[in-house]
Amino acid sequence: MSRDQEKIEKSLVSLVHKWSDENIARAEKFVDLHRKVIPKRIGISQLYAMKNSIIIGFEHLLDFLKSRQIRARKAGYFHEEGCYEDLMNQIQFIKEDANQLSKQADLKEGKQLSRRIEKELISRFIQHIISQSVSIEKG
Amino acid sequence: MEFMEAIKSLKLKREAENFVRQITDGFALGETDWYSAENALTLAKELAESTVQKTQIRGIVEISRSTGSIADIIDALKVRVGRDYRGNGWDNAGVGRRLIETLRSLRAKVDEFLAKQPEFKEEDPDVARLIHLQLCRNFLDVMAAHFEYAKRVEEDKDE
Repeated sequence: MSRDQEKIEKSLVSLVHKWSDENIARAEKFVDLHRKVIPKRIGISQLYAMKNSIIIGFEHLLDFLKSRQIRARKAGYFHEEGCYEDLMNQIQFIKEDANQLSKQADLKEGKQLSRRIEKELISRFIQHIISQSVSIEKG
Repeated sequence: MEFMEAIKSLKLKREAENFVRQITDGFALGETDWYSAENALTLAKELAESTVQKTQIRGIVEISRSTGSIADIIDALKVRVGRDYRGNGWDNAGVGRRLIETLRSLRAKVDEFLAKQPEFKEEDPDVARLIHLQLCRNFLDVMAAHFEYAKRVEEDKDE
């Protein structure tokens, strides 16, 4: 890795950490808002499944969420359906944040690295949701 | 980015270091009223009286040293509190939750300090977060040291 690349990589990690610290409250608010379904109907293992599916790809996660949303609608679980809807909206916002971050980091590799940031941010957001859910499940 | 690396280019590097040192001394001496909701000594003592083991405390300290994000430390603590199903470890009398709140409350002191020194934010907009992160690390370091001592006292009592 060249020095320039190393520098970009470092500044990227720092930007992701900063984003994570600023958005943990957003994840906590999300869990509070959907306490009727998290973690009772949407359990910790399902949340981990979401986190794993983002590793495969953004589209894979969206497909996963959409299929769950349809299933909840058919079963008449409207709070659960709303939760999936909200999560998909949050993910769209995070996608925009990832775009902003890649612009800030002045990336030459463009799209590919932007996708990596996108995955990292979504994965972190879901991890914040998981941690909050685990702690309220106990409380 | 590491704290020292982040502040090395700042003109007010010395002020930042002194501030962090001053607060950390406060942790070690057990002062509470001016910097956080709880003090490191009390939390360490409560944790030592619970079933939390030395390796678990060392694990949290290790996480705080290896990450550049306060959210990662808080996430790790939340998971430990949540998994204490019997309530006699990390969630004994809400000690883990109070530790999380204490780490969060350190930010207020940083903001207060930076309000008096606006030049910092002009130099690096992320400086408040980095100082806060360093304070969290130092708080956990001090708490871990107190914990090791208090745990030993607890173990001696049992023998």
